Amino acid sequence: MEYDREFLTGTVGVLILSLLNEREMYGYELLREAERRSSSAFQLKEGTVYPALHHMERSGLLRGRWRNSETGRSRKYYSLTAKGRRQAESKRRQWLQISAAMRSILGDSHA
Amino acid sequence: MREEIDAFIEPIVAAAQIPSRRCRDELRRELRSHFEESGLTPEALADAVVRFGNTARIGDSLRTVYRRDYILFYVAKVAACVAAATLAAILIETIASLRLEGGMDAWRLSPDFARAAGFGVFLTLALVAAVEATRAPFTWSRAVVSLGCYAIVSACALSVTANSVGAVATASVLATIGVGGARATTAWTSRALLTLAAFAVVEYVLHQSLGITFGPIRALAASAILLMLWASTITIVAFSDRAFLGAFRKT
Repeated sequence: MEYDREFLTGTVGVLILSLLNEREMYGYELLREAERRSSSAFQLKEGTVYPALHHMERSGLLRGRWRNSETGRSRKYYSLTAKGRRQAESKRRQWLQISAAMRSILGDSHA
Repeated sequence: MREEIDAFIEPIVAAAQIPSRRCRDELRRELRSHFEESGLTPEALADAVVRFGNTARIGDSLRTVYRRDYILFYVAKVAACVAAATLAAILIETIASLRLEGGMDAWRLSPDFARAAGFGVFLTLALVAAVEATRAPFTWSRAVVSLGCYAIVSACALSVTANSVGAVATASVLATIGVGGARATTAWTSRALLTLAAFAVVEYVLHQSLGITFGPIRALAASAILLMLWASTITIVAFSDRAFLGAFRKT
């Protein structure tokens, strides 16, 4: 399903922080994981995710390190820093409050 | 396949305007690794390219991320340019102020050296500010910052010596003419002659209006020294521009 861009603005950061809060991932893995977990509802553009990852890394929320996979392929894995973990938790709380407020306005039948 | 991936990645890396070679290489490596993950068949690559989105927009997003580094690098370039041009101006004014005295066996600096060197440095700063303010593509922010910095330096000079108003005004007028002259034609000879003539006219008219005896020959001689300052500054700016742009092309 194609979503209105306005709805998705600001969700990329929350998605990245939430997924990386579970384990470290590389860019491609992160995209596929978001797609799989949302049953393809979130088909993020790679062109959106990589600038967001670099922005978060430079802001000190993520740490990137190169590592070889079992297949010998070199990948840049991202993990959360302590600051990133705090940010992930804060964003998660805010998101739950917003979605609860939206549900109460739209009604459960629309949620 | 590697060439096709690189052909897609390179415009993104270039548009990102990342000053650090290490960061550029890392971005290349990461994007390359992404496409390799997507699959190396022509169909998989075509699909990955479509999913990736518009290269210009991705480049813009990455440029925003690395904006602070770019600005710092740009400021360092201008500072290096100002330092080199100032040194060159002092050297030119020193050579121009040397006089043979004491039975032609001793070189001395003319009594006017300090004033001439100060003016030379000021003209250099005005030229660099004018070049940066009017650089293509024109942006209001760069013009305001360049002219603002020049205004601050002028205010500092005026606070030290109140009678430097004339020097500030003259340097500003000459810098405007100098930048106009540098862009008037592409041939160096015609640029130099045009600028020399304009400088001489300004020097002559200015001194006449102040009631100072300053003939056309003297105006031309003074302008020849100013022209050397102009030429050295314009050359240093062009060289630093090439070095700046070249830094982004290094792989």
